[in-house]
Amino acid sequence: MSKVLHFEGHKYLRQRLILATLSSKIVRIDKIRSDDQDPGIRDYEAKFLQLLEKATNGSTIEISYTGTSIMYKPGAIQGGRIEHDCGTDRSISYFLEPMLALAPFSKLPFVLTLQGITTDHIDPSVDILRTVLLPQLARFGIEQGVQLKITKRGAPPLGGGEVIFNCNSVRQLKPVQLTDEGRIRKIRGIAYCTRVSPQTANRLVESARSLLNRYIPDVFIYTDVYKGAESGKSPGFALSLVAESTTGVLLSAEKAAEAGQTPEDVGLMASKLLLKEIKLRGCVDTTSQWLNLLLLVLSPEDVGKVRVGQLSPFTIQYLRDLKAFFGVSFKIQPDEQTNTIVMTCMGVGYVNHNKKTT
Amino acid sequence: ASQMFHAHRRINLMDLVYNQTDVSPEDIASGNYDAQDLDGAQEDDSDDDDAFFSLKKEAAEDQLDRMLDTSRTQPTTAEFEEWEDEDMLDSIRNRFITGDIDAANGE
Repeated sequence: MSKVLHFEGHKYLRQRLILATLSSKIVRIDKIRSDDQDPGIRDYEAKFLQLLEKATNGSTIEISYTGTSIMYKPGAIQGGRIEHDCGTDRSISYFLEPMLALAPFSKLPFVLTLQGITTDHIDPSVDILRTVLLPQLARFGIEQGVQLKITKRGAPPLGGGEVIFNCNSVRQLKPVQLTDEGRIRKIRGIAYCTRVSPQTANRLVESARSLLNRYIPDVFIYTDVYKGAESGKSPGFALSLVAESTTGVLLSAEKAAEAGQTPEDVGLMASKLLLKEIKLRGCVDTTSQWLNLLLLVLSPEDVGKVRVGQLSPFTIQYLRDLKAFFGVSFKIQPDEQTNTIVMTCMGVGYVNHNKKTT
Repeated sequence: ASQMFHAHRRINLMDLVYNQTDVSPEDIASGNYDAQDLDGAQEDDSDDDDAFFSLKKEAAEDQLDRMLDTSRTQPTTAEFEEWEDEDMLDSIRNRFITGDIDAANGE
C-alpha cells in the first residue's frame, strides 16, 4: 500500500491516474514537460485532476510549485451527481473516456454532466463513445442504467456543448472471450452539423455513401442538425461511422472537419478510416483497445481473450502501465493467418465492495 | 522462412512490450524495433540508429507534445491515398456479408 509508483513525463497522464485510482496505489509523476519552454501541467490536465477529485472521495493531489510533478493518493470512487466544465483545450471525450472506466466501480451511480467541446479531430467524439464504447461496456456486464445523452453540441474552438453520462455501478464484471470478428453486416453513422447550412450533413452522407455502397447496401447515416441554443458556440461538422459485424463486433471511425475541408473531404476521409479499421480485422477498433484490455484485467479470475487488429502506441504503453499497476501481463499471440493479434490474460477478479450482492 | 519470421516476431512482441521498456511505444507500433534488434550486435550501427531516432523525435516534438495523450491514432495523408487504389478497395471485399463467403473462410 505504501509503495509509490513512479512515472515520468506528461504522456499517458490520464490512464496512469485512472489505473492508480482503480488499484488504490499511490502514484508520483515527475518531469512533466520539465524541458519545455512552458513547463508543468496544462490547463486541461489540471481540469482533469479536478474532475478526478470530484469523482472520488478522500483523494489527495499534490502538485509541485512548478507544476512539473504530481503526487496522487487515490481515495474511494464516490460517483454521484457531478458537474464539470471541461474547458475548450480538449474535447469532452478526453475527460469522459477515463470516467467510463471508473463509473462502473463507484459507490453511487454516476450522473456526470460535462460541458465543453463534443467533437474535435484529436479525441474520439462523444458519438463514438455512445455508439461503440457503451455497447462494449455492456459486453462486460455493465449495462444497467448506462446512458450518454448529448444535450448540446459544441464544436471547437468555443465549444458550448453538453453531455450527460449515467452509469450504475456493478459488483463484478463478466468474463469475455471475443475472438470471432465475423463479417460486416451493416454500417451506421451520424453526420452532425452545427451553425452551418443544414445541407452540409447531407453532403457528408452522400460522399460517405459513394464509397461505402460498393461493399454493402445497408448503410444508414443519421443526419443530426442542431439548431439554436443546442448548437453550441462555433460552427462545425463531423461524420462518425460504425460498422457492425455478424458477431456484434463494432468498429468505428470518424472525422471532424478541420479548417478548409469540405463536407465531401470529411465524408470520404471518415469512410476511408472505417475501411482501414475493417481491414485490420480486429474485434475491437483501435480507439477502444485500451478500455477492453482494462476490463479484461478487472474481470473475474478467468481467462479473457480479445482479438485486436494492430496495437497502437497508446495501447502498448497501456499494457506496460497495466502491468505496473495490476501485475497482469497479457499473452500477445500474433495470428499469422489473419494478421491480427490475440490478447489473452487472467483477470484479477476485481470486486466493487460498495455494491452489495442482491 | 516466413514462418521463422513470424515465430521470431511472436517472441519479440511480448518481449518488446514488457521487457524492453526503453523501446518507445511509437517505435514498436511502427515496426522500428526490428532494425534495432538485428543491429544490436554491432554497437556502431545501433548507436547510429539511436541518433537517428532521437533526431526524428525532436523534429516531431511540437506536434507530438500536444497530440499524444489520446486513444485515437492520428491518420496520415498516405493512409488516405492508399484507399484511392482499386485493388486496395477490393482487398476487403470479403470482410462484408455481401462478399464471397468461401474466399473469406479459405483465406
